[in-house]
Amino acid sequence: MGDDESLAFLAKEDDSGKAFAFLAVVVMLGLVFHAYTFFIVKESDIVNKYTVQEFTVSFEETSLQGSDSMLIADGETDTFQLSRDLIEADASLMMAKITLSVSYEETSGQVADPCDEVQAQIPPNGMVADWQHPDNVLADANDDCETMTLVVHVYPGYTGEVMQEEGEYAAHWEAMWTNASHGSGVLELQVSVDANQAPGSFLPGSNDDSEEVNVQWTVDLFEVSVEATSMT
Amino acid sequence: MAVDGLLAVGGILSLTLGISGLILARNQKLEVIWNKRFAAQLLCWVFISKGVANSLRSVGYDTELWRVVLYAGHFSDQIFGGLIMLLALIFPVPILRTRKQFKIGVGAILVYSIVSLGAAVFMGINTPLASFVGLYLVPGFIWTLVYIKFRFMSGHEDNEEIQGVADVAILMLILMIGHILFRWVGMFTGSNYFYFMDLYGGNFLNDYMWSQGLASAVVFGLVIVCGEIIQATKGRVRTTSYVIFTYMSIGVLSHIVYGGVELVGSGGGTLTGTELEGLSTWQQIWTEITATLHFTMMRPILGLYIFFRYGLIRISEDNEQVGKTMAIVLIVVATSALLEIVQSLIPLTEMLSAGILGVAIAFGIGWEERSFQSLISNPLRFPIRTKGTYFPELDFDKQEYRRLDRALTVMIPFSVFVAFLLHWSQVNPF
Repeated sequence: MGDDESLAFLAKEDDSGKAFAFLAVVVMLGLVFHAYTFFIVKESDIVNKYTVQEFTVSFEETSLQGSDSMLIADGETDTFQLSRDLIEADASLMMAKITLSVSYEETSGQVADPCDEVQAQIPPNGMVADWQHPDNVLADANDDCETMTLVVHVYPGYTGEVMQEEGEYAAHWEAMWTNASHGSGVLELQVSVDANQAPGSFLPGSNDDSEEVNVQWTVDLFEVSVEATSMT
Repeated sequence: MAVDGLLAVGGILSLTLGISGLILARNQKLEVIWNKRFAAQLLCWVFISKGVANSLRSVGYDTELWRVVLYAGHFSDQIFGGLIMLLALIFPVPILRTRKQFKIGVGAILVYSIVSLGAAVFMGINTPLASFVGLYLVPGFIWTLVYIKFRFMSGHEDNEEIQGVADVAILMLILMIGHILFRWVGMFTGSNYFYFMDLYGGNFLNDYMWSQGLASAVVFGLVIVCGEIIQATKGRVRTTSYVIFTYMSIGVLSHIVYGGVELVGSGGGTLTGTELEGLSTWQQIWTEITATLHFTMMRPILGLYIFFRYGLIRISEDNEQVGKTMAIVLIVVATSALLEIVQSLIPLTEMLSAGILGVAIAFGIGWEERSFQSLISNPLRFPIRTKGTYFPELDFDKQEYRRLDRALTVMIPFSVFVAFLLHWSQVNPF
């Protein structure tokens, strides 16, 4: 078979095979790089791309507490405000729940003066929270000086319990529990007082015309931790 | 059963081009050198097999006949792979340089196709033997070698015939692997959107074989783009340079679009547009307007250009009307495919989309009147006078050309029949 009929004619003609050798070397280098990436760098990702990853989603809980007091005049309403900025919560912590305890005593000093009537309510706006949560307590009122406890669940779906999740990626589950928009804004507690007068209140200088109301707040915070547990 | 509109349109485009191309090739009166004559037939069958595969897959797998869709699509792709390999062995520069070599080459490709088809039937569709071993590597290597030889042929830098061979080598490569060039950056950044591309998954070696083919395609694309940059620095920029620059630039943009994507399962898919899980809506749209557009529209348009520009099919007065009809049909169907993409981006009312379609077709046919004549009137010749040793003259009679058509006319329906047999037998493909 003459040179003209050789299968290697294209490879050898004109440049004695230099172009062929160059291309073969470049292709080999490319394929070695690809094999290294495929078998070493990306192996576990590629092997596991069809397996469903399981994740344990757990939460580390912490809480911040504080208190404030307001002197509210008879027939008036005062507002107590609470927000992430005001309580100086760390940005990595998500708000789970806010508990507000409203307490007061009869402070007029008059004999047989009954407790004033105090109403407390949280309007369902201002803060992004789970306002439809069935365990929320958004309003209360009493006239027996008992402490009232109001509760707002902030992060939807949060129970604090460890969860097992399947599929997706760790970042997906982390993102699910690190949405800082929940708890943003300002929560308002409106407290109003209707003073009940003592039987001898007709005497000069003995009017019960205001009440000091104490608000104790507790904000439950959490930080998520996602751990890959096994493959299924 | 939802039909993937783009794949369906792509299937129709490919089938139209393939069938009408075959009619034109068979009836042409003008003399065409043997390797171009066979290349025309092979390219037509490439489009017919891809047309069958795309049309079947457009139905999707959510049907009772999913095995038929799966197997017949796979078999058509295997025939496509064999044809592409044979095409690279004879066009634009014949590696098979004698009648004997040609016959052995055809036989070897036939054995390759039968073995891979048999492996898919008896060993599972995702076995490495059935996974198009060397589909991109072998033809890509040959066409890139032809490109380097002819583009950098000393003393012939301005020879249109010699540079035309390099051009057609680039176009053949883009026709085959253009969609992979849209993801070339991912190979070097170790991105999931590149390394997660697979055929069916579930077989690590199979995944590697497929991914290796994609990697080789990226290497060929880079070699050519580097070559064109060198040529550009010397002031020799050709139309094909812009084509490869565009494809590679889209590859860079794709890396930005897919950046940070965490695909689930086979989110990389095979880029046919049917497996896009794990991608956001915007990323899916991007895949549609790049990879799927290449599959459905660019391949037939490139095919049409190669047929006429490089004289694989010669148009004379006898067959001019068929040629024109073929171009018009392609324009109309391609326009509707384009509209399909626009509709996936911007929801249009039926009235508006019909209006746009009408205007687009009017422009398209107007373009056809002006461009078709210039495309067919002066086909580029290969440098037989100056570099004739690259192009051995072999004689084949009409019967031998027709035998190839007859073989493939039997092979494709037979593969579909086998797919039905496997469906009726309730075979587990994996």
